[in-house]
Formats: sequence, C-alpha cells, structure tokens
Amino acid sequence: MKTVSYKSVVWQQFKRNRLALAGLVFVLCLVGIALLAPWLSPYSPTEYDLSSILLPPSTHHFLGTDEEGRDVLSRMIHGSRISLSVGFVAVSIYVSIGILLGALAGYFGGLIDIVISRLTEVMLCFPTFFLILTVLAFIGPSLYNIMIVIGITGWTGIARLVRGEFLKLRHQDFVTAAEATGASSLRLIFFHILPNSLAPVLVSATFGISSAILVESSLSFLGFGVQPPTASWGEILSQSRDFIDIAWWLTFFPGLAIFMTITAYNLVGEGLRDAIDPRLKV
Amino acid sequence: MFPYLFKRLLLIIPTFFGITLITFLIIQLAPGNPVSLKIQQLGGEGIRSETISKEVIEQTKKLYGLDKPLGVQYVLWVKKIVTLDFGDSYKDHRPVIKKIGEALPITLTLNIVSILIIYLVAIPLGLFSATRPNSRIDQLTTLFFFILYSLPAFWVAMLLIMFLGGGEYLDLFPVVGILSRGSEQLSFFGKIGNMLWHLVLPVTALTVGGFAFMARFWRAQVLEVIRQDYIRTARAKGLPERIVVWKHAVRNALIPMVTLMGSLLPAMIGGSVIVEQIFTIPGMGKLGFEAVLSRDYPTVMALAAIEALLTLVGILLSDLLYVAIDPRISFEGKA
Amino acid sequence: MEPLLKVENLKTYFLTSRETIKAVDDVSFTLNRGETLGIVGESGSGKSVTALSLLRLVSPPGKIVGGRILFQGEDIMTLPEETVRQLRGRRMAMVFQEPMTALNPVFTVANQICEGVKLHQQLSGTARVIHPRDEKVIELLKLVGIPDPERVSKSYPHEISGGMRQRVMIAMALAGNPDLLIADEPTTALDVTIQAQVLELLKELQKKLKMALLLITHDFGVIAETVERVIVMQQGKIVEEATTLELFRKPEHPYTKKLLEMIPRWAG
Repeated sequence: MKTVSYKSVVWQQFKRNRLALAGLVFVLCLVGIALLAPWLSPYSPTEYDLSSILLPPSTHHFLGTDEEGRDVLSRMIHGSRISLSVGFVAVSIYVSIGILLGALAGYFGGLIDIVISRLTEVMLCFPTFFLILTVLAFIGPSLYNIMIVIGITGWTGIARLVRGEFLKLRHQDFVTAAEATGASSLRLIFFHILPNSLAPVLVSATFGISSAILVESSLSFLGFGVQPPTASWGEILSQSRDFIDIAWWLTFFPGLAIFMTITAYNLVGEGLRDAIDPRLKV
Repeated sequence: MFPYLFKRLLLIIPTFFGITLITFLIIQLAPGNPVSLKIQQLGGEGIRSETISKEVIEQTKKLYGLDKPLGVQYVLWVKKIVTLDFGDSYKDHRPVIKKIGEALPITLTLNIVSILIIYLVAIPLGLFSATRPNSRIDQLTTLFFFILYSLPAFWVAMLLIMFLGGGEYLDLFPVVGILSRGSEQLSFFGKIGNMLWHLVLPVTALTVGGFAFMARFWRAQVLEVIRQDYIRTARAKGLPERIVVWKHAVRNALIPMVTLMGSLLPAMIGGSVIVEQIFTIPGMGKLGFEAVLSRDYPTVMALAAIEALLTLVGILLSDLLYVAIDPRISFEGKA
Repeated sequence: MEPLLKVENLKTYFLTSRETIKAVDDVSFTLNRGETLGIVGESGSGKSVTALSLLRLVSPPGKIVGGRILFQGEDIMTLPEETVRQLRGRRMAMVFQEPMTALNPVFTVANQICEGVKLHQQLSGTARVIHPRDEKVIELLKLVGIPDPERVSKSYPHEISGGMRQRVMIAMALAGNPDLLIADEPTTALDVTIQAQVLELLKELQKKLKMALLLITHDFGVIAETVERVIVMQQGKIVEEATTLELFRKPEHPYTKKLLEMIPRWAG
C-alpha cells in the first residue's frame, strides 16, 4: 500500500519534468529499434557492397555508406543492440554485486564492513578503464566479456550507496520492530531494509547505464569492443578515423547516436533523482 | 595534526597492497602468460614456441624469476616496486621507470592545464548561473552544461580534428604529438608556445566533459549555500550583494570544490587514454594502451601501481585540503 | 510625532506555479521611536515574513505585492535597492532565530562583526584611526555581556556556545547603531536559562541605546517579559492588537484566548 502510493507520487513528479519524459521516450524508442533491428534496417549491416563505397548520405543511403559499402544507417540500427544490451547487462551485474556487498557491510558492520570497505577503496583507486582494457586484452574482447568486465569493476559506487542506506536504516523503528518479531537476518536485509534503500540505487543505476554505454563505445573505439563485422557505434567511429578527411558522416552520425543515448539516460536519471528526492532539486 | 597524518598514511598501506595484489593476480591469471610471450619473443618471428627446448624455457623462467611459487614472485615484485624498480619493458628492454618518467610529465601537464581551465571557466559560469536561479539565462546555461556533460570525449576529439585540425574544414591546430618536428631549435618560450599550440585540441577534448560536470556541481553548491541562513544574515547586515556572494557564499561553496580537486587529477589521468591515443600524445595513457596491446607485463603492472598510488595521494591531498580550508574540521578531531 | 515605522496594508505572497500563498495579507501597524512591540503567532502565521518584508529581504518565490512600509518617513517599497541596502544594518538591524546557522561557519566572530563596523564607518565617514575596528569589535562584544571578548572574537561560531552565538548575533546587529532592532525568535533555539538572559540583555540594550524593538515570537511568555505592546497574527492577518497588560488581562479574539490557554501555568 505504502510502496504503491510512493511509486505513484514519484511517477507524478517525474511526469512533470518534460525533459526527463523526453529522455524516457527516446530510450523506449531505442529499445524498440533494437528489438526490431532486422526488420527496420534497409540493408544488411554486414554484407559488403563494393559498388557503393563511401557514399555520402542520399535518398538510397540516408546516412551514407562506409569503406566496405555497407549502409551506415543499417549498421547503426544493429549497433543499438550492442549499446543497449551492454548498458543493461553490465549495470545489472554491478548493481547486484554492489547491493550484496553494500548490504553485508552496512548490516553486519564490524570485520565484514572493514574488509568490504577496504576492497571498495582498492577498487576505487584502481584506474578502472585501464583495468578493463588490460583484462579484455587477456581474455579477448567480446560482447559478453565487455559486459562482465564492466560489471565486475563498476560496483563500488552502488556498494557505498547501499552501505550508507543500510547504516541509516539499520536501527530505525520498523527494522527493530521486525527484528523483535523474530525475523531472520536474511529476511531483514531483503524484505525490510533493501526495499527502502532502492530508490537512490535506481537513480545511480540509470546514470550507470549511460556511463556503461560510454565505456563500451570507448572500448570499441580503441578496438577492444565487439569484433568486426558486428556493428557497434564505437566501432563505426573507430573505422571512421581513417576517413575523417573525406567522410564526415562516418564520424558524425554514430557519435551523435552515442551522445543522444547518453543524454537521454542522464535526463531520465536526473528526472528520477528529482522525483525521488525533491529536496535535491536545484 | 601529526597523529592524523600518520593514521592517514598508515591506511594507505593496506590499500596499496590490495591494489598491487590485484594487479599481480590479473597478470598471472592471464591466458597468454609472461613466459610463453617472452619465449615467443626470444624465439623470433619464424620459430614456434613448441620448437624451443625445455632448457630455454627454464632459463627464461629463471631469468625473470618465473620459476618460483606465485607468493614468492609477488613478494619479490612488491619489494622491487617499493624501490621504484619495475624491471625492463618486454617491448624495448628499457627500464619501465624511465619510460614512465618520460610519459608522466606529459600526462600531468595535459591534465593540470585541463583542470585549471575547467576551474577557471566553471566557477564564474556556475556562479553567474546560480545567482540568477531559474531565470531564462540560467535555464539556458544549465541545458548547455547538461549537453556538454553528455558529450563523449573521443567524439569531441574527432569533431575537433574534422573541423579545426585539417579534416574537412579548417587546419588551425596540429593533431599529432606535443611538439612540432624541428622544435628543438626553438627558444625556451618558442617551445612552450609550440607545446601550447599542440595542446589546444587535446585539452579542449579533455575539458569539455569535466568542465560541464564541474559547472553543474558548482552551481548546485552555490545554490545550496545561497539559501543558508548566514547568507540572509549577511544581507541583513547591509553588505553589498557582491560581498555577500563573493565572500560569504563562494568561500563556503568552494570547500567541496577544492576537496574534489585531489580526486579529479587521477580520474582525469585515467580518462586521458583515448585522447592521448587520438592525438598521439606520448603520455601515460598511450604508454599503457600500447603496453596492453603488446602484453608488456612489467609496464602494465607498473602503470597500474603508479596510477593507483597517484589516486591514493590525491585522496590524501583532498583530505588535507579539506582540513585546511574548513575551520569546522580540525586534525585533532579527525585523528 | 511621526512614528518610526508605519506599515500600511502590507501584502507579501509566495507565488509558485501551482498556488499563491498569502503569507502576509493586508497587515498594518505602527512602531514609535524607542518603543517595544511584539508580534506573536504560531509558525506559519506570517510573522517572520513580515519582519523580512520590512528589510525587503523576502527571497523568491516570496514577493511583496502591495502596501507601504514607511520607515522614518521614507517608503521602503519605492527606494532603490542600493538605498535599502545602506539602510539595512545601520538604521534597521535584525537578529535571527538559529544562531548556529545564521552565522557563517567559516569566518571568525571578529571578521563577521567587523564587516558591519566597516560598513557603518564607511557610510558615516568615521575615520578608521579614531576608531580602530578591532577595538570596536571588542567593545560590542563587551556591550552584549560576553565575559572574555578577546577569545570569543578570535573563535569560529562552532567553537562557542549557543547563548554566546546569539550574543554575537546581537553584537553584529548593533554594529551600525540601528534605530530599530528586529529580533526574530531570538531565544527559541536556546536553553530556558539562557533564554531569560538573552531577553534581559535585549531589554537592557533597547533602553540603553534608545532603539525601538520589534520582537517576533510564538511564545507569550517571552512577550510578557519584554514588550509594551503586542500584535497577534493568524494566517497572515492581524487578529488583535493591544498593550501587553490588556492582552493578558482581557484577550478579545478567540484565537488569542486559545493561544493564551496553551501557555503552561505554574502553581501560585
């Protein structure tokens, strides 16, 4: 009952923010495009067509073609699948890890907290992007490896957030009350405290998706992403480097797609944050 | 003050060990392990590793201490890095510390210049925006910051090259390296000028995101401070708005900004991999990227350790600055 | 004689996109030189907003939408911002409720009092040589009864007690020799014993410096001890105005009666 009304209040607040709503619509459209990619793209994303190399945008190829004669629009439509899936999967992985570690540290405190907090600090100090690059160089770049590596390196923020929330909620009346009725630790963690600390996690995860998309495209740009011929936005950009003098469309459109997607997620994240905690609204 | 400093420094030790341990393990667990790579290199291009005799393998292992158990290897490695001995690069057999010594100043210059610019631009702009909350101009600048904030640095870099660096349009700035060829003959100031000219595009690419982040953060800080009671007190005293803002508000809002600086530098160094790569700047990022590509383990390990150490120092500096500029916090209180 | 302050039909509204809150709705009153007046009411009755309106310090979305505020014959509503600024602190000063947050945490007490002294000297043309500022700060701190002014002046707000902080606030307000001192719930955040001391100090200073005092509070006890005349506010409007004696003896308005009934009574 309480959570339902809370959710609807948040939704009411969120709806009022037009930019955030626009971001959400953009993200939903993108999900639609990714799901329907094979039907939406006018050409094959991978087949070479040596008769139409590096054509500028035209009515046949809305966004032009690349050096192998592949249609950029089709490649980008297929590339949206990579960006979105990396965003969702990687963030799901690290949110799970972060919640687990943060909850353990915040709930039990003591030695467990000390160990987990040290571990978090170690991860925080690590040059994350460099770490991801190194690991990918060893285990080989592939879609799944990227998701996993971003997932296992990105959890520190969530862990600290959840730990803080747990420390705050641990001794509140509703938890003490549940404890008094004999609820187990597991029950307390997952049924009583966790649901009450999820709101900031959701906000952080939304921003996390945009940064995961950025990391994925950066990796692809450096050649450590999804391997050709599979299309991803960062990979198209990476190839465009050799043709930057002659084919602006190869640089412009994929970058624009990355930028707009990141913007959309950030807008949704800001909207959520303001809706969840109006006090933070500035 | 000293007990606090001491405690802070002590806390660095376990973190540093954690970092070196993880670095070490990642390298050891890698499928293409150092021995086989080394042997491939020794064997030369044409010879496959199977054809090399066991003896050679053992010799190589011994040479690099790879025949000892992992634990011993780790201890040996840590012992060495404490004295800044990171061994020789597998790639060109030069001492790793020398290579880092050449790359680090370049990366530091690039990032310190960027941070200075970020602060110099973000502070007045954020203040301008925050002192006119919700006005049209505030909404416009806020939107502008937001857009900049979401721009991927590498795309910015490429657009800059395309428009200003001899791509399809203007050719105003160099896009390769940090000094022109033949710049050795230039005077001291000539060299500096030449370097600044080379830094324009990379620094722009690096600052765009950071500047937007900082301006947004700063605006939020100022807005938060400006609705505090003491600002109302300052106004009630009859102080001119200029003093209310620049003395009472800015001094308070600056506290988190200054403390952020310590952690910003290492974060930016980590983020400059791509920009250094795009503009062929021989800094830490490029060195790291190439080391990863060629599986130059000593360099990779050294870079990870040094960058982590820089981060630790940054965090420590942040803490010290915090104590220095916020009278509410004393060293004694924190120790 | 012309009153020091004459407020006519003051209206201060908070205009948000969804609604308009009439915080102060058609309020009129006068205050003579050297007089003490209390405004009493529950929180949200508009008494603090009235006080802030007098100094034109209501921050958005609050806005003074109507009325006149005649201070020493000048309408504050029509004066340019710069003139109002020079008036603040010098002719009309204010003491706020929460002395912890009302003092800037990162400047020393001396620094914050000095600002007021400096402004006052600049505007009144008093040369610095005749009145060194440090001495003036110490003098002010002594005036508000701080036992070791040298030490306190070098302290940061968090290093001194709540009562001391409120005394510092008062010293700051006195830096410009104001004709009117507005005290907005000056004792609410303090312990009971300290409350009495601060009230005593305010009364004493008011007499000594011949200032008018406008005391804003929700506490009838504070009113009874400090002021000659009382205004009772409810939901942005004045519901009753009387001398303090009359009000306690024979409250007219039911709201006043209700508020008076809520005062804890002591035996005897």
